[in-house]
Amino acid sequence: MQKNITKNKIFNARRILAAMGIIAFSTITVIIAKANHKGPMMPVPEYRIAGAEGNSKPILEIYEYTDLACPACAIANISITDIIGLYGDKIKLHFKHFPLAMHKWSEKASLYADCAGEQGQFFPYARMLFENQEKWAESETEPKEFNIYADLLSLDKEKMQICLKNTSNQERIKLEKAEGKAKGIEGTPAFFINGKFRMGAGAVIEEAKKIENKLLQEKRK
Amino acid sequence: MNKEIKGHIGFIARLIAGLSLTTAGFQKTLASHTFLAWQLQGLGLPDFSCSFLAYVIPYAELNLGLMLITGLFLPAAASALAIALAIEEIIMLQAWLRMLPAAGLNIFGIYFASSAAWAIFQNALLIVLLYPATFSGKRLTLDFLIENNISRRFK
Repeated sequence: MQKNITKNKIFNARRILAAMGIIAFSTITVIIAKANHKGPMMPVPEYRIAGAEGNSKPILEIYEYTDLACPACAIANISITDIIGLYGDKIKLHFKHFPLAMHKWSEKASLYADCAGEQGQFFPYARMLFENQEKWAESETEPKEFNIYADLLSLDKEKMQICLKNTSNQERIKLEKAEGKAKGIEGTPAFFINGKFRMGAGAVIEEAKKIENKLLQEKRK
Repeated sequence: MNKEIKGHIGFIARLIAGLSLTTAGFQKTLASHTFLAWQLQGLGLPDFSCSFLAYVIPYAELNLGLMLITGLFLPAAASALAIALAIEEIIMLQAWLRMLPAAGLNIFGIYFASSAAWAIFQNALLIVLLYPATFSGKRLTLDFLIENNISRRFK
């Protein structure tokens, strides 16, 4: 009887120890994965994808987390636009919003850009916002530029207003930012280039050089 | 069906269910808390519970899934998962019937199902798999290994 009680006690103690081992193992794995910026990514709307079309496999797949009011992001945007212009279907860009709290109108600008995107003008609208950051980013009141750019691109105002009031669009931007934070992003521009985390505008240019080498090698073959 | 075949079926069922839950749990632990809470809100759950559940579910799923794979506290882990999956099935069904914008969302087992109906089906499949996983193939569990080891010492 006593022997059985002792046996059971040891049995349960060992199982508890093993369970603690499993919990410790899973916790460490999660910490390591988080430190390496791993984690799932929500797909972006079609209008925020540039470069390679359809299911074609690009050489570079870039997920860019950007703040439309951030000057470094504007510089990165010029590089990316140039690179996509050069390599076209060899690159696929997925644009993700990451409006920083220090930029008052960033979130609103993202929303406007998405609404322009629903009318097929996301990238031209975003480019206008990037190129004219100094005009609207520091504005005290809601920048009139948001509507001016919409007019310049001949966007349907009624559709734009409906889209701006749609809470699911606002939610998507917040979720994207939360996703970025969960992946360890603290500043912008941040990139996941072929799954590898990179920071800063120079990262894309470095990767573009690699494409050029790869293309040259392919040509030589 | 002889005992050995039943044992193999149980082991395979345990691996499938365990791997599915562990993978989904692991992905959820890396996802943002805001996203998970939003998913739960989409299923019509009260707001106050969503934030709490979004913290608890990923780790519960990950660790219970690992316990299922290794066969540690097997009956307890499998029962806990079966109860959680059954509750989720009810939540998913009510969301589906109320036509909430819950398509593509799930709590346990899968991270991002393509439709509510698919999620409900997968949940049901996991519940079915848990039965043979719990009652067959006990020789390939940590529980058995530990018990065997202690028994030998007490002989």
